[in-house]
Amino acid sequence: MLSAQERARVMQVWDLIAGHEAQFGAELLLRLFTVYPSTKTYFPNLGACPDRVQLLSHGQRMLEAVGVAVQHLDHLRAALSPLADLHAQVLRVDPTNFPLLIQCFQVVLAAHLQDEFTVEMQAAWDKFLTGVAVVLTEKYR
Amino acid sequence: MVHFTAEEKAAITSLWGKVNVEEAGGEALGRLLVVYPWTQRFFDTFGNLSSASAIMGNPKVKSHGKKVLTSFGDAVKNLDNLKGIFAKLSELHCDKLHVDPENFRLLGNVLVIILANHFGKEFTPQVQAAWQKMVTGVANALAYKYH
Repeated sequence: MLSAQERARVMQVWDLIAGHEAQFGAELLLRLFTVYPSTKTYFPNLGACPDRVQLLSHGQRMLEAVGVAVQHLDHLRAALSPLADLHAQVLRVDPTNFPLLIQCFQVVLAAHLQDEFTVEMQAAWDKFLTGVAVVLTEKYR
Repeated sequence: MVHFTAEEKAAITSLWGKVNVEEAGGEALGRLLVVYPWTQRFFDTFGNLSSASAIMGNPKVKSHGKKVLTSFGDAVKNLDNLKGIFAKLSELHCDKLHVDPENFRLLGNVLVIILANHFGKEFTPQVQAAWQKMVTGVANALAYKYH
């Protein structure tokens, strides 16, 4: 799915995020909940106004999962299978929400990476994250 | 009819004042064509779109991008009447250009990403929210006259 160049770009960006999963994840979730408030319905455990501690904790978990995906670009389905089961059986996040998360992810990357966020980076990450979303919703029915 | 609060209008207009419309327009259209290559379907006459650098450097892309973003500027000045402002353009995009309105949403999202890239920390979640609402309003206004 991803070309060799695209994989390289995915890994390049990941190198800049690795070690900061909690902060990136927290900002991602804050943007998601601020811009698209209906997405909060999928996080009842975080409450109506999640605080920084909650965002950091949950954000870290989500970004670590993205990290798993980055390490297994050649076999995303296998690597993300338990998460795909979770989304299909328990979370059941409507598939239309994944593009919203991806938009916020791109905004976080763009805001933080500045000049390093080239058009090629954006294209590779959009393609990669969309692929992850496909895998996570594949077992829905 | 979409309604913008005073804070949202302030977030939109203050940021817009600092945007270089010519540069941002070319960048937005260029990134759209690279990240979502199927959007190139509307630009057969634009010449070389064979690579990311060809697209980003293409003078027709830059010029058309500037045109598109200048329209956005009109929207910023008329946030209370987006449907009115874009009525003619909506008819044009439907009747003559035959553009699927989904493309307006894609371009709007790319524009938001570019603003985040330029403004960094200043592009807070609240500012992003105002701008996402704005680009959605523009996309809907442009789709309004479709039949």
